[in-house]
Amino acid sequence: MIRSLSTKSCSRRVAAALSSSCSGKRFNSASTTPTPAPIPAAGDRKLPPLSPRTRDFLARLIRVDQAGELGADLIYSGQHAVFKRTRPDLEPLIAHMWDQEVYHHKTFDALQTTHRVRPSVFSPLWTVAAYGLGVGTAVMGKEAAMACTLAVETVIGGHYNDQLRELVALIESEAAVAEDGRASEELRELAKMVSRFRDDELEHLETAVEHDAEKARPYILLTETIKAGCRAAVWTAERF
Amino acid sequence: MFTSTHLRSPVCKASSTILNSARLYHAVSHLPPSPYTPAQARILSSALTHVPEHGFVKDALVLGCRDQGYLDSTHAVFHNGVFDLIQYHLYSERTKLAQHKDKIDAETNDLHERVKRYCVERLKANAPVIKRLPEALAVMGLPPNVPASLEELAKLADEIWYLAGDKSSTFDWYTRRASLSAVYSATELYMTQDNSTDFKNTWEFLDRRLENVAHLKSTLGSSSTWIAFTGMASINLLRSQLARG
Ligand SMILES: [Fe+2]
Ligand SMILES: [Fe+2]
Repeated sequence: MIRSLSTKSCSRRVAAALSSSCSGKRFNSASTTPTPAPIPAAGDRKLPPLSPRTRDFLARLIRVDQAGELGADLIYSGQHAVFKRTRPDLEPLIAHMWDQEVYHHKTFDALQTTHRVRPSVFSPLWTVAAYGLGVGTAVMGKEAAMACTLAVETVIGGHYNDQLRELVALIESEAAVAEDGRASEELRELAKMVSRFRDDELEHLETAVEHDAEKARPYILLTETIKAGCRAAVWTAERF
Repeated sequence: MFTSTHLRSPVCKASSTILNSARLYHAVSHLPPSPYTPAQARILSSALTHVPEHGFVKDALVLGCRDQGYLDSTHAVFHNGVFDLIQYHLYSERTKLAQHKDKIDAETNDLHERVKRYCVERLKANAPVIKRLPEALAVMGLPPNVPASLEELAKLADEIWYLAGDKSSTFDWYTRRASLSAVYSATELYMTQDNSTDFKNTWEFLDRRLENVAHLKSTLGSSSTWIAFTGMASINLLRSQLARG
């Protein structure tokens, strides 16, 4: 499961594409900064306009990731609401993951505003569904909650990986478009952020596995159902 | 003397770009794409200077071409004729709103007050052509022009909320833009009939309408609004999104 999400395949290319500003360092997987990274300021010399296709891709990326992080935020919030009463021992673990999701969510909210992307039309639906999923799986017990995390993070982590691959290709092609070969700092920051969030999601996935998510055999149906639901939500939120 | 082939192809593209760009990523460190070539923009700007006298008519377009040293027949490259001229008026006044940002930011921190200021600035820009506006509104209301006109209205509402500093990130985003669109178009219509000095009545009308927007409840609180809105909006959105895959 984790192997299929291995980051190795694309991390070398990412490191190469981002090297000038991150010098190949592994991204810090714990996002401790409370506020979203600042958007690169508009310099005097702006880069050539992005193509409509690129702008469409980036708008979809921000919209679907914002919706996904809204969902993740609320899933953990729902689980937290249950576990803080039923399983106080799990509370710090859930709280830690929830904190990271809150940070992801806020970051994408800020990006959506700055880049004038419309949010998903279905955000009220994602809100209700995600909170319900969090509460529901937590009420079923620890294994079900972890199986839920496993399903969600598998889909989200994989999706971040796909986006990252496209982003890296995009950064390379945009650098080819600029006369002086300058790569867009704005796009590079976005790729770094997606890469860091991807690492966070994989950490959540590992946490779920460590906490017996896969021991929960009866939950295979649950996991697969949640995965299918997430994929459907991703498809929808990208477009609507 | 230029020939009309200079200008031909990008015009069709211009209208389709305008149609889609409201939903696209706005880059901070890249130049914004321009829907008009410099030559088109010069002709259309010149043509607008003739609107107060001649109205939104073909003659204004012809005079615009003549002013810029093009043959009279060049106006034919604007396939949508008068509607292209109207769209240019809407586009240029919308993009000019950003010029007021520093002043408005310094004057008030209140989001809704800022929205009001931008509405006033935008409506004031109609004053020189106010007697000609009803004919423009009539052209905008012709069935083939309705989608582009609504798209432009949505862009204006988005521009105003963006400049004012709106940070809504859930369904509020839609309700705010939809309700401002409704308020703006109602006020614009009112303004064409307003004979009070300096449009005093128009500003009062705007005040009253905007109060309702400020009191709009958000997201889940207004699920009926949401259902009504998505039902309406998703039909067109669905069509365009499924076509693109
Ligand atoms: Fe996340
Ligand atoms: Fe996560």
